[in-house]
Amino acid sequence: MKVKSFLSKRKNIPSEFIQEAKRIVGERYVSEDERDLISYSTDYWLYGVYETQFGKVPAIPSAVVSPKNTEEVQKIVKLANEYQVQITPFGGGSGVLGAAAPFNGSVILNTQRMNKFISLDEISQVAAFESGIIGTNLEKELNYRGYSLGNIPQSISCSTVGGWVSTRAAGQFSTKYGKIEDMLLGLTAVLPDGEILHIKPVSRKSTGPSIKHLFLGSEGTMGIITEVYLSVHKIPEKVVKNSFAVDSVETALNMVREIVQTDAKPAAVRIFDKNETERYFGVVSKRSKYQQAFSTAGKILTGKVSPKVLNILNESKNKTSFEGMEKLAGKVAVIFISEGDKDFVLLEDRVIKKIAKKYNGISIGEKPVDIWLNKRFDVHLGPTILRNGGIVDTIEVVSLFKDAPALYNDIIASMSSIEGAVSVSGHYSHFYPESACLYVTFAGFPKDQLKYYEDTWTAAMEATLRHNGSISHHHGIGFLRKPFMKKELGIAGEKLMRDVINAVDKNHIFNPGKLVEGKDEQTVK
Amino acid sequence: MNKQLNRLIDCSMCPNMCKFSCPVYLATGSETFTPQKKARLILYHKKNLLEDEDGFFDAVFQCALCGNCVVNCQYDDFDIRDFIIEERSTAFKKGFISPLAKDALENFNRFGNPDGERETIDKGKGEIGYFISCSTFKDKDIISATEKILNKAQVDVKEFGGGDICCGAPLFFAGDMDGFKKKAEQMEKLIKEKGIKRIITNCPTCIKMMKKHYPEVGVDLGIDIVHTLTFTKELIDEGRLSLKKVENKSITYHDPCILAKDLDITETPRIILKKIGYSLREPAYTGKDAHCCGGRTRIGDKNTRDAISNMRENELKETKATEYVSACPTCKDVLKSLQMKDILEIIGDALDE
Repeated sequence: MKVKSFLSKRKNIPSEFIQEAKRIVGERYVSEDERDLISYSTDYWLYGVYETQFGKVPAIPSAVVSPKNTEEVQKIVKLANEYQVQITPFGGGSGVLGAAAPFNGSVILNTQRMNKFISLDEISQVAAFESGIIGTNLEKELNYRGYSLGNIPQSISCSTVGGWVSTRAAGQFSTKYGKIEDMLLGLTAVLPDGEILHIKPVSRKSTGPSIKHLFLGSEGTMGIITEVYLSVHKIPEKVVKNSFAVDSVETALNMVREIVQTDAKPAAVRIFDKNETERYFGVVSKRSKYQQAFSTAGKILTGKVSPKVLNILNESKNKTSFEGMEKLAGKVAVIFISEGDKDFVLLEDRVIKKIAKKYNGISIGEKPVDIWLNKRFDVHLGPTILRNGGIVDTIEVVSLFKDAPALYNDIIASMSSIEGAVSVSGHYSHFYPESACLYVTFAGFPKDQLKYYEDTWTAAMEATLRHNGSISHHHGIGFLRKPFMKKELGIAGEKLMRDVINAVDKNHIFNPGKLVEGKDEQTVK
Repeated sequence: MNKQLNRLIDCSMCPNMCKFSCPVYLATGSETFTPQKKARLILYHKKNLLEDEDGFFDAVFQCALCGNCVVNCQYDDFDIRDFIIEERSTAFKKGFISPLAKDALENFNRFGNPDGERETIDKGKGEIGYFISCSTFKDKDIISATEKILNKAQVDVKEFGGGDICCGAPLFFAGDMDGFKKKAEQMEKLIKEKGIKRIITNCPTCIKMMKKHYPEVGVDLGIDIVHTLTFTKELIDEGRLSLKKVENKSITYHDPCILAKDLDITETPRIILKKIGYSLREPAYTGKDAHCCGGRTRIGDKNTRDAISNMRENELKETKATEYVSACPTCKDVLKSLQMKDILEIIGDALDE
């Protein structure tokens, strides 16, 4: 192949495996064709994506197999054991940590043919889907029947529900509806030895440690999830939107903490730091043109930025003016969406306004919420930055409220100090009574893209660990965060995770090189 | 074109935000057939990085050209179908003929149309040309209904079509741009000869070919071309047609790809159906989000095409409506298991006698 892989190469796998696989799933659904090996060579790991424009891909699989149901998955997994062929599961390929990059010349097991709505139990409000359905279509199927799951990640148009479970995904409305682990009631999966596991859907039970939770965040190391049972809710009767301007990220965190520590459960809550407030809401401050584009909580990043780069980054700024926007100048924006039963929503609205007032929050009304709703899936700038030699990515971490302000300051400063950085900004979008998830977006135009990328990630992970934070809230580990897992889990924790995976996957069949160091060191080169 | 090439690169590095809407992807589960992966493969083909060129050519024929990806694109100024057609043209020049295009191309060589020997239609008078498309030619019910509506409103039209008259769409889909240009020039000559100042037709594809793709091969018809549905709505609005009401009937309208996404017509059929008294039952995927019926030759692979048709049929069945209707003769034919009607037939039946 002229297209080159820079992390892992294709291997020769037994031709008998290919022939048998074709008998199981059909000729059309087993491929060793160049076009397919390229198409499944990476997920949305951003540095890998950056390299694709030059004809380089992270990891070329040896083949791609696309079964249509649990039984076919079972047969393929048994076959993989028989021929000692490793498998990397591939859902929507939207993961940003490289979890679906097929290391060690493994065979891709593509779940995207299993993309159907199965059933809706309207009495219990439980819906069943095949694992390869894309989030938008899952929502469309539910909305059509008057329901919603409430998991609305930015990747909803390109990620699968199986991927959500495998990474412990979170959506923009998580403060009310929770993460996917709060929605997942049961599942069907094929274990690494080929046995079919069915976990029946109930809300809570006391039957020993939760087997279900072995699959949440397993990133394809525990087997293949083929069906999921999810808790769903009726489409909200009433929606109320609020927004406020406050003085600082710390004030905003205190305000939101106090709100979520009451019985209030706003569906979406978002704190935009000053840089993101400016970018999202187009606030024109009195600072210089340069500073308008690249301010980070008042701290200007170093390094000269060309007019071309300036133009590219300015593209992301909101151009629409609205009444009250001037009140956001130099402030931190906080937005709320409350939804559900009308009486509860109106009550919650009063609680939010009361506490916001206590923190001198200036009410801006619904408009900033609408602007965010319109822009929340807009990712067009990322590829344009990559095409122009820049690097862009996001990092999400989580900490207790008591550590959150210090973590925010440290992570932004640490990432901003890396040579080549031009923009580092943050927002909080997932809240619990005890903690909040910080989501940092960074862009740089460095001389050495890989060094900048690795140094920035290391800076972010180390800052998080310094402040007792966890290194991932909902994107997962893949291979990119794997080196930080020992510090995250501790030596005992990492060993326990490795032992559990190795006990379940004795032949080291599943997703080589991911999640935890040493789980398959015998096989991964 | 440089800007468009940059957008292709952007598309190749997008998270694939439109994939959920792609009927080829949904019916096959293939990542390779998603728009973003096609963009990456097209980019690599342009950079001469692909060794299996036939495998690549097959991939660019695994596209319904429906425009769902365009509707859901992150970039307002990008239409990947332009690149797909460009690559199909390259494929054709290199002798790659998709399996589904084969018969149509042979018929074009022998009879000048995709279907074989047929009589030429040339009747009526006036400056409005009612163009009987190839797909309409095979459906006498649509032609009768259209004639009934035109007669009722006392509109003089010159009917033409059949024989070797074709907009050239099957050639365009197959990548035969020289053949397509010849059909466009033939159409231009015919329209001039007949003195036609406005064209109405039942086929959305013909409209798109004449309005968008003819100018790309240097043929500008310079006249208005509208769907018969749009024309009929004009007649209703002018008070030249009155409609009687149906009672206790539900109906599901299937949006044809080109009509909804390229010609932006989604409201008109619904307004008319409601006016007739139907209770509309929308499927889960509707309007600009509707999935393609599979078409006839826009996709090069029969298995993929049939899988899409089957998927759409099942989506429509979910509504459990008493009637199904569309506004494209191809959609009607492909989805015939639902006893699909054309909206002109529904309007024709509702005319006050």
